[in-house]
Amino acid sequence: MQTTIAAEYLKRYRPEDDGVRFMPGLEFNLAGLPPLPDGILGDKVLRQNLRTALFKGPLTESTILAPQHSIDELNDIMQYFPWNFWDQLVLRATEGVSGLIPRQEYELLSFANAWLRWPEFMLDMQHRVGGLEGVVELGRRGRVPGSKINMLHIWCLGICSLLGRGVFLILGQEKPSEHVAELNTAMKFWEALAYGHRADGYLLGSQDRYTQRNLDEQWATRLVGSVDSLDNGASDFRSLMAAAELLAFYVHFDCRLGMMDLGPYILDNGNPVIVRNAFLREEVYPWAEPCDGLPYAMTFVLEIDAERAAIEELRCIDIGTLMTKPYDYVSGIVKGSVWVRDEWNSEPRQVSVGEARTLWYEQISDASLRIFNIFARTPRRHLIEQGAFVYCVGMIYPFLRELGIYDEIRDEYRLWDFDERVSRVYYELDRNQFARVTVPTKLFDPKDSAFALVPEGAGLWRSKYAYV
Amino acid sequence: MSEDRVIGTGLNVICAAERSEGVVRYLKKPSDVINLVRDGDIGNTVVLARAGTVTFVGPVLSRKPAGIITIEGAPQSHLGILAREFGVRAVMSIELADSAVERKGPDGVTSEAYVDYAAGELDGKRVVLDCSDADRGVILAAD
Repeated sequence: MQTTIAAEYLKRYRPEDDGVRFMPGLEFNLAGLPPLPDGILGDKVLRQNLRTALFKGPLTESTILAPQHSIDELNDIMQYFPWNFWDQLVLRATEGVSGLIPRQEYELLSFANAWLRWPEFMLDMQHRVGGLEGVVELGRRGRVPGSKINMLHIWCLGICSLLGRGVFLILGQEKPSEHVAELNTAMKFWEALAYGHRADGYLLGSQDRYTQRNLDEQWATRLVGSVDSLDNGASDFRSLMAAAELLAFYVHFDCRLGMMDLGPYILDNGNPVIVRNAFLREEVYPWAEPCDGLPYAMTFVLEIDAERAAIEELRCIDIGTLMTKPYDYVSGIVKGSVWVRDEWNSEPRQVSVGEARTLWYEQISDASLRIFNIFARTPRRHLIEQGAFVYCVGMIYPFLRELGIYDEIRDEYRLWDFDERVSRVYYELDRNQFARVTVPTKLFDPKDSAFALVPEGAGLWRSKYAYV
Repeated sequence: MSEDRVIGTGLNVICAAERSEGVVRYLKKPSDVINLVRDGDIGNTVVLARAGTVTFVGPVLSRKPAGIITIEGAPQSHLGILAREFGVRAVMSIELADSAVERKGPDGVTSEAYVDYAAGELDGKRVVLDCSDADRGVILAAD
């Protein structure tokens, strides 16, 4: 009986398996599509209803290197991506209103700014690396532990562009036929990064049964082989990992940009191994000064006893978080190891759990409290603006840094600044609960979707040169 | 001790056979969190917070309170994940027994009135958290 339970989650990787529903009864509704459930079945049904081959199977490099998408391909993205987004929101569930950071407000502002500003940065990077082939290679460079060139950041460059378009659609300041050229730029850049980073031909983890095996084989082998029995140290390991995750949330303004779970790498005994990255330091954020002296990133490698945790399905979702059914996998962690990356570009190295605790646990806990105190004293408007920059700068920053052009882009394009139209969005945030109710409601309203399709016949060259 | 009086139920975050007990302290503002960390008896406190966001209760979470109750949020959230990793019992999205106030307002989200009502009903009470069921956590009156 126990063996049957242990094998249960492995059934999810069989092609004929439809997965289990994490949220039974909930469905995603978008105009022109049948109701879609979450999970593997939702992906299957959606793929059958799309127009092109973009999400139907592994892609080849020739598709990726095509200079632009057709309108049909853009509209497939405009339907697959929102489902993928919803599918992950369902898992996260509603966290509610934070008493510390106005996150929904800063998210909206950042989406708007990303939409108006990122395409230019993307074109600049694409030009410097010699076209989309170079962008694919840029994505490949993140296939090491402790890298922010990871699926979460890549995913964000795609979905946040669409969400920014949606903000202006909801505000009535943009039509679905406008900014098609910029939409194409953003989607091609996202797609090339994802293709290079995942290296399996898929663009999103939901297309491949929620796997994120995005490490080069050499690194995957080293990390998976490094786990050791935790014996009596399981509690120390878990609390160190929790403290590191918590600090990563503070450094990144209460969002997940400081996390990335990879895997599962499946052992011969059937147990999954998860590689969890927590980013503890980022010099470009002034509030993160208490983190000086800590490693740039800590990587926790976890072997989970699938039998003990009775795992039915395991998802490493694109927003960098492991989700399981049942949701308590923590009690099943039986082996682990700790790695650190001292600087963003230094070689990852293994440290013992005991050494890591001795060296960093107190400072990690102290830094979390100090950043909390900074946030507690920061006026709301500043919180919203700083949080917005964690998204619209922080999401693209790792790619600029990797190419060695961050300083130049920061100064030449005034990276840390809002477009004037975005500054005006600030004043809409609280009116009629725009940020907290209107946008979340309209995002997934089939009749009034923020993900409106590009109309047939719209010019691929179409931009929007004037706001009149 | 009339431990059997159920005050409310919610989504259980961590399955634990042993019950935990403490006095509920409602943390409404960041300064409430700081005050509890500075001078509160965290180990005997059951923290009550509105939302399931991890950063609001983070400083308390790592100092091991007797438990956490949230009015919104779910065990799959990062607060839920970290509560399990820190080994802190937590019950989320609570429904109060015999609630006199509807949870959702006309806009479909948790109303301020419900938050105030739940806080008023729980703040200062000594409670027991029964987290023995995998899915459902129970808040019992301890006195």
